[in-house]
Amino acid sequence: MAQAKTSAARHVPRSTSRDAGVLGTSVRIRGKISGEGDLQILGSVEGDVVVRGDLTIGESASIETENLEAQAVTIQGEVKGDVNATGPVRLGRTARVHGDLKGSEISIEEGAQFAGRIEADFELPASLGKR
Amino acid sequence: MASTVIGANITIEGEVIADEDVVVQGTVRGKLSAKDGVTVESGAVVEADVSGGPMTLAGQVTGNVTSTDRVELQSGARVVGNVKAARITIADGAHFKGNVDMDV
Repeated sequence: MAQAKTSAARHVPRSTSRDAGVLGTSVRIRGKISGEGDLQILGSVEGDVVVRGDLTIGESASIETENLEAQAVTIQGEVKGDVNATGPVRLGRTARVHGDLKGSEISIEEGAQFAGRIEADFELPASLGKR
Repeated sequence: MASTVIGANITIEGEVIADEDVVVQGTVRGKLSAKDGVTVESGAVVEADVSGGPMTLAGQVTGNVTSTDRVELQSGARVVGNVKAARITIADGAHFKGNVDMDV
């Protein structure tokens, strides 16, 4: 829990309302979603999601994907498939994730369900790296 | 009170189905069906058949448009396709190529 808070605080979201997209709770999308801005998904998506900005997957969302790419990814809903983030990945309390997670840092809150592998890119401290 | 906004930099290729209002500022290719209103803002590109309730089109739409209510083509809109609706308005400055079916 503390870990989650740290990572959320460290990442400063760039809020550009014009770029932001919201896919509401009743929306179902079958196909590919791509974009430059931030995206919030509350509905259901079947297909790939590739965005340059931050991705937020709400509690009501369910996503079935081969590939999910974004900067920071916050998951509160259901995801089946792999998550490839360049920024931090955060699994909230209500998250149900089945797939591999990749990100600069990964945090999983208590209560989240997760089955898969975790791959986090981070640099070892110099003292450890030299060994 | 639109709860779905497809932002200016978002592209969706595929099928979009919504039970609520949809505002498109970005790009949609494929199919777009909403139970409620559809707004295609200026700068948006929709290459899809669009169906739904009241529609306000100010951007570029290529595809057939079917509305259970009214369709409003605003100035600057560019619509290529057939429009089927109970009511339709085409503003001065709107570009439109296609048939209109008002189901009389």
